[in-house]
Amino acid sequence: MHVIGNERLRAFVQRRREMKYAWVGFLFLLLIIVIILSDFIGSVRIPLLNILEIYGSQIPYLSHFVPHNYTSAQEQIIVQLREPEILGGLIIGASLGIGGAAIQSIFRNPISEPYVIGLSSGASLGAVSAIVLGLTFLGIYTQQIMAFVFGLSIVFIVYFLALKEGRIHPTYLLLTGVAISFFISAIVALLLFTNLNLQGEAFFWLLGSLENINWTLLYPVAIVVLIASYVIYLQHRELDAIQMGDMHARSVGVNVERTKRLTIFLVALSVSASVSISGLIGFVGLVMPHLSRMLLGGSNKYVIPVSGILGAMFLICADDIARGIVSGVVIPIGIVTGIIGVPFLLYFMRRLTGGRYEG
Amino acid sequence: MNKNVKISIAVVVALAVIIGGLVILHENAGGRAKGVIITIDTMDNIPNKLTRIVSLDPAATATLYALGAYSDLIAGNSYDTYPPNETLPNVTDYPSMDLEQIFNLSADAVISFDNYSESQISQLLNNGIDYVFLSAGAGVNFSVIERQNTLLGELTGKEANATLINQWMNTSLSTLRSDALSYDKSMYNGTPLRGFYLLSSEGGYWTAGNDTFINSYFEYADIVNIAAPYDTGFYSINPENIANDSPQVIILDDSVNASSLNASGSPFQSSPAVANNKIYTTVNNENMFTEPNFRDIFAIQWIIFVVYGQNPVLPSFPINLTYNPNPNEVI
Repeated sequence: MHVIGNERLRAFVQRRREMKYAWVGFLFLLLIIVIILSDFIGSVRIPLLNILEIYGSQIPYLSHFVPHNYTSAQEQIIVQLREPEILGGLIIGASLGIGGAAIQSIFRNPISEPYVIGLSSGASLGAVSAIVLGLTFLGIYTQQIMAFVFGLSIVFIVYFLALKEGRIHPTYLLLTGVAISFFISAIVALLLFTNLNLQGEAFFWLLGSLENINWTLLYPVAIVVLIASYVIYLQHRELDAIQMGDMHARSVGVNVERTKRLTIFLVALSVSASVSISGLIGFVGLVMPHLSRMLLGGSNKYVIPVSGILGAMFLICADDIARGIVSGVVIPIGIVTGIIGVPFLLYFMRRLTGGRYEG
Repeated sequence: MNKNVKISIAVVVALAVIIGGLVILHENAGGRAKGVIITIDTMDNIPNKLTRIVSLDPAATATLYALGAYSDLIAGNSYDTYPPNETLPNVTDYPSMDLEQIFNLSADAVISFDNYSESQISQLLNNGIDYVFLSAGAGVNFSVIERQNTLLGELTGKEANATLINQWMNTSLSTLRSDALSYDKSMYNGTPLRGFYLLSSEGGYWTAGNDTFINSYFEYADIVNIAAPYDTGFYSINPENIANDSPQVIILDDSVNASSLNASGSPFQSSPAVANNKIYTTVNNENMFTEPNFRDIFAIQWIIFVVYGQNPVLPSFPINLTYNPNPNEVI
């Protein structure tokens, strides 16, 4: 009887695991479909066959066998405009989703996200300083580099201010992050006040956009995000343990302080790089981890990659809506993520949990 | 070595190779020579004659029409008003330019008055499209407008027409200035009038300061712009300065409600302009107060007409155009 019970349990666990893998596979497939469909959305209509030919022409060796019935303008639109924008959505959405999952595990707080550790205010300070002061000392990408450096620097400042006797208490770190963010936001407001003419440009940066992403901006960010996300994923067991409390994590042999330090550094690195090229995009880092927990339970082995997939999918769809909803106007993506995302989350919370979700 | 570390190193190396390959692939994509940024200061470096031009600048659209180069325009923008009945596709995509449409039209060059994002401009240049920047902010006066005419003339092979327009502008400006000086100002104690241009009252009193083409309007019309001493370019003036300098004439953009000037707390409330009803709203000619080009001559003519009650006679426009460039005559 005891043996049969164990076998049943093992079979149940095995089935659950297979189910979760199937979910991850399905979501990944859905992401690929969203990426391909998004390549059709734009102000210029390009036939499906031409898009497929352009795809084929970009694959080394295969390009010789692909017919070239498309125009060079169509190739430019797909390769230089739509692909970097869609892949930008993929990279940025994934980094926000994964960052959100990791940060929520560390803080054990369902309403935390990567921005609470001062990252968004730091990036805003860097970008707005570059816009208002007209800084160009780092070339045409001074604004993006400044946003990245300031975002990362403010996270370090918050971290060291919150450090007490070599340890980080999540609540103290959270409050320090909120306080420093208010302080930095006041400086950003002061900068904007000194040059009203540039308020519009800074305003659009603060609302976020994927429109200005090109290959030159995307490559370095993609490298940083992919490597950081992978290393965050490798910490999934440690993050699971920390999620159950520092004491528990130490009791199962996790070096809590090292894991927190490494994770915060990687999230700061990855999300700073992302927002430096897109501006501030809210909602994704807060909500996608919750949605993935609703779908696949609380283990970070699934929550981290699925948050990344959902974040990427959501941001690419939001960008499609931002570009397509009003002809002649690209609505800042931060507005779309809020307007579309909140009802979407409320619906899924009710549908998947029957209103009993507890984080 | 730990298995995870080995996997991590393998992933990093693989990513570096893949992404490095993609960088090389995309940097060489397109195969077109890079575009160049063209301004009135880079006129020695003008590329071949442009024949497929996108204008995001309504002032440039009007100038190209007057130069006889309208057929070289393949797209316009949502702010174009002259020539009327434009049928060109609109490629503005507020707050950006619609790069997809611009690429699709196989443009040679994009003309703009505003600083679009560096990244959008670099997309144009990387895809072999020249970017012609015509300033519309601080520093633009009639001399700059004439240089912009010359630049557009050279870019489109219409240098002779550009010279004709510039000569017409110079003659017109001399006429307007001497006429303005000759008018009887006894009703204003014989001194130049104090004038003010109110562009917008949203979020402050937006006006044109020193070093703007609107300040030049005032100078040619023998009116002292009270906003000029305080700042350059278009800016929001301190209302205390308006109250203190008390303008005798106010030119209002048509978006501003004239009755708001007389409201309680308005810095214009006790000004002679309000007391004597010397408030003039730009109606059919408001574009001449936002677009620096040859048609600004007619703005000065209009100011002189409404302020002094005189109508200076200008030399006729040197190029025969289907649509009259003078909005004062169109009304």
